[in-house]
Amino acid sequence: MKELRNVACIVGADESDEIGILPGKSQLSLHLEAITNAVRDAGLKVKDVDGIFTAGQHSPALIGEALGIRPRVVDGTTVGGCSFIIMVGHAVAALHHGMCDVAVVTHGESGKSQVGVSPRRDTSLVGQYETPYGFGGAPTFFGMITTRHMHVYGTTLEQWAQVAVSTRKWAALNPKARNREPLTVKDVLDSRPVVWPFNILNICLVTDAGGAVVLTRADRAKDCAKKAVFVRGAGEGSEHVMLTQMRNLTFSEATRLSGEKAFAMAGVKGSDFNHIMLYDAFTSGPPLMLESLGLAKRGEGAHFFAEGRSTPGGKLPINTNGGGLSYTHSGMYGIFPIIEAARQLRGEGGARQVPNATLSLVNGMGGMLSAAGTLVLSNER
Amino acid sequence: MIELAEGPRMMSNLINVAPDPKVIRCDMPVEVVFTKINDDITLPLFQPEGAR
Repeated sequence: MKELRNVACIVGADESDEIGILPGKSQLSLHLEAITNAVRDAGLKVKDVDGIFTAGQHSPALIGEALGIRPRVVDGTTVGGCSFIIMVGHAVAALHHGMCDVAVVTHGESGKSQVGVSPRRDTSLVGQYETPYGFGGAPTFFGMITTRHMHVYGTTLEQWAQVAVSTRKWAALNPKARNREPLTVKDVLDSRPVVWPFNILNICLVTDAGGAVVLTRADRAKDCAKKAVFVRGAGEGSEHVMLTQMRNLTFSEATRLSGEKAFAMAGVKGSDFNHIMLYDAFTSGPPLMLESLGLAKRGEGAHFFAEGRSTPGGKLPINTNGGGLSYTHSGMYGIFPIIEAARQLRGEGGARQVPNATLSLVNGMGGMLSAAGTLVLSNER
Repeated sequence: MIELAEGPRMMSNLINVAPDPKVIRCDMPVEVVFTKINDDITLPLFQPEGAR
């Protein structure tokens, strides 16, 4: 994998025209807006795109048809919300081998308004063996992971709440974030209970949104409109689908695998990063990811948030867009942490810009820590 | 989630216990109660060991 280090760059990154509650837009429209915006951001044209990477209900073939192009590479790897993070790695490999020249990784989901969404009929093992007992929504599953963590390590509800509070401080600085008003630990603890141990403010938003990033080889990236963001490392992993098959509920093997591969490819260690983006569908997610990636000792991931390191002005900013908790979460959130990392590394963060951001970690999960993707991004070689 | 004495884990529901996180604890011992849902379906549910 080392030969893939820095061979390709993110040269364009943007959301759909709007994100939020959008009953007038189909999820295909959200895809197309995001692609158009990201390609423009790169200083390229849609007709330049010849590789399409996407996950979710719409196949890359459909995206190609809707764009009026004939892609040479299509990849529809769908292993949950981290799929877009994983596909950046796939795109790097395809670009390196000349299978395509301009790759777009795209997401569009009408998660709230459900416009242009196909109804799902669940005949999976989860549907057969878990849903009949009342399990179905993600909070019911992730609640068990979280409860187990509290049992094994003594983690508290206050510690999880700190993650929401830290993330909201960043959202206050992002004009695109949905929830920007100040938040306290008490607000989280007093909010409406959903499923133990989660109150509503422990759980991500449900929105409609699109996002896309454009990649090309490093030699060509020089000619694009903005500062290139190098993909130094990329890794993926998968452990389980049904939560009963997860070996240790408090530690994600998929996350560990993806991180080890990405760090080795990039030649970095966990303590090198000065900006971190983690998939926060639930407040307990980022601490568990830090532990599984080896950045925190087991049981101590929440310390990163409680000690104020992760907040604006802190030494290790985490989830600077306001996260799935306060910025946007359309369902498969994984494209958005990549977009934010690219913006920070280009110095486009505005009020939330992390000073001297040079090395960014992007990590996301699919399903219930079932699959995972990790990226190491940098604005220098 | 139930871990069976034989090793495998499965999803189920706890019955004959208050739905209260102070009462339901991780690793508490439970026992199976085969519960008839209708003429075709009987589900293995679980209760705290010795309940009822």
